[in-house]
Amino acid sequence: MPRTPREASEAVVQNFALHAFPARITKRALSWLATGWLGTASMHLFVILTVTGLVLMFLYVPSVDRAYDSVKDLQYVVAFGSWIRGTHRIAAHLMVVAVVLHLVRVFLTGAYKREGPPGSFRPMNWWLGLALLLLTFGLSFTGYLLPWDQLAYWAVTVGTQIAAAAPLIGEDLRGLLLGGTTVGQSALIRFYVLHCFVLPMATIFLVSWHFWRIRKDGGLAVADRVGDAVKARAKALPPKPGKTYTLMGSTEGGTVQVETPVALMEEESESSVPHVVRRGFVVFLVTFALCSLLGLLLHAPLEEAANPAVTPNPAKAPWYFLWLQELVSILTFRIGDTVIDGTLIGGILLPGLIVTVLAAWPFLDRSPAAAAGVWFHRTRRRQNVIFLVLLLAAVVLTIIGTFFRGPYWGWVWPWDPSSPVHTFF
Amino acid sequence: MKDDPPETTRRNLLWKSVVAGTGLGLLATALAWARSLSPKVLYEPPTKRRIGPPGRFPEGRTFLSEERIFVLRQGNAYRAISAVCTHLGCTVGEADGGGYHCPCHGSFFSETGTNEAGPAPRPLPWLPLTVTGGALVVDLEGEVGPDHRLEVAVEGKPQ
Ligand code: HEM
Ligand code: FES
Repeated sequence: MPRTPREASEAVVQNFALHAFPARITKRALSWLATGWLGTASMHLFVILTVTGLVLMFLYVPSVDRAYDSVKDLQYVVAFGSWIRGTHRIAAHLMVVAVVLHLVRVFLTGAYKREGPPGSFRPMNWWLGLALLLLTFGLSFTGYLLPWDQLAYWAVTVGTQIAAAAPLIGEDLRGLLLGGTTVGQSALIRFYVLHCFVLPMATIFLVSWHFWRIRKDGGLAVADRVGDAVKARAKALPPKPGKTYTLMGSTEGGTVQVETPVALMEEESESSVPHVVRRGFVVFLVTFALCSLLGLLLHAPLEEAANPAVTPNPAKAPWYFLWLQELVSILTFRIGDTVIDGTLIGGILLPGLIVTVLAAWPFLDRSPAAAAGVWFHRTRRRQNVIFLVLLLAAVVLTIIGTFFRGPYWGWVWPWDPSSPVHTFF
Repeated sequence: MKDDPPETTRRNLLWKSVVAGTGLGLLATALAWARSLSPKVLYEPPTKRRIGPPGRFPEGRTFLSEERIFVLRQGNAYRAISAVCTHLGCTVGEADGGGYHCPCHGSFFSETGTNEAGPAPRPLPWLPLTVTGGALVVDLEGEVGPDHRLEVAVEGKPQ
């Protein structure tokens, strides 16, 4: 324990854990079931990706002449190279899964709602989260091109062609992404810079902002009613050592923050160090062990080198976009001689609509404050059901696109010899 | 006093011009940097390509993977059709019994290039062929009607 106020404030400033978290945290927010700790798992996956990605950067060469060979070397020559590459790849897939599940949990618990402690504004974190979701997709998609094999080349050819279907700006957008008219060297270096620098930096920035907002919003929504209950019971109590600086004894007397209800509810809370840190560490270990093991067992795919002349049949987008590819193909039909092209609807308008509606949702949701931070609150039953049905539809379409689509995008059973399921991972 | 427009003093005029100047300067710089991302020269393969002497092509369809086209020969008449699917740009293959099939989303094009099934919004374009210095030249950006033919007298019989 510090002996002077100076030592106390130094201890706070020097210890990241002490000022990243509030001094005390409610037992409810700590619970495994309230959040699944999925946001934390997403962050850990991002950390694992950053570290393994850094190693890969020393070995990968972003040139159309060398890219494929350098990845092949990584896979077959570099000591433990296939393990590092496998870990990076599986962590990328798992990050998409974790971030989506985190969104699902935030939605189902109504944790994005406007109603919160005074001064809070949780929709902000919902929006930051949506931006992070898009960044996660962007990171995965830009990384997909780098091995420069057939899988990569054609997924990106088709993907950027979908971008070109956007009205007005489509062609320019594709040109800007590719730095030309075809997927070639300029496209590779652009994707590389986006993947290794621009998008990770943006992610780090937004994640920091996201975490800071949780504290600005008075903690997780699940803890809101703990505060209310305590406030109702609380009389004018003397300030408690409930804040980081009072924990270290550097503040005498009360401040607004020190007198918040959080300070009053010792029996409802635990001190953050070590409780949050310990759980966070457990989540990290589980996430890391999973990535590392799967990275060892499953082999990241590497097909033949990219060949613009030969399109693999079928050519599939990365799995997390297959529900859209499936929609593109379902929404394409013909009336007489005119073809209704599903690309614009399935590839641009629908995803745009989904993001817009999600962004507006905190203002469309009219449920009472009591529904914030509660799983399946009865006042939110209808929206939760609709959300789950749409989610299920996307999952089913993804499964169909992944396991049931063969040559010419026709239907094949996964056990059929012509089924391309082996290219899944 | 309150309703008077804010007085323009020498000092705050100077201050405003500094702010405006800095802002404009930064904006111009940012635009210049952004402009650098759209290339002035593309180091991509040329769109007009020599594809070899007419005698090289056998009767019927030949796929040229480099150019992603099919060359069709009937005696002395030559035609070229693009093999780039008009849907999302995959390379189409020859379908059994004539026509073209796209592996990506299953578009089918008839022998004349007409999009008959699947998501492809337009027919496969027929490309202009010319002869230069004894070699056929195809213009990958051009388009001609399906009846366009290049007649070249070739020495020897078609293989
Ligand atoms: C890189 C991606 C992301 C990371 C690293 C991340 C991280 C976190 C963490 C650690 C938390 C604390 C609670 C928990 O673990 O569940 C959290 C809360 C939150 N996240 Fe995320 N998140 C990400 C993406 C998203 C997305 C896609 C959304 C939704 C659109 C979102 C919306 C929220 C909201 C509204 C909260 C506050 C929840 C509450 O008060 O209970 N986040 N995030
Ligand atoms: S790219 Fe040919 S059908 Fe889609």
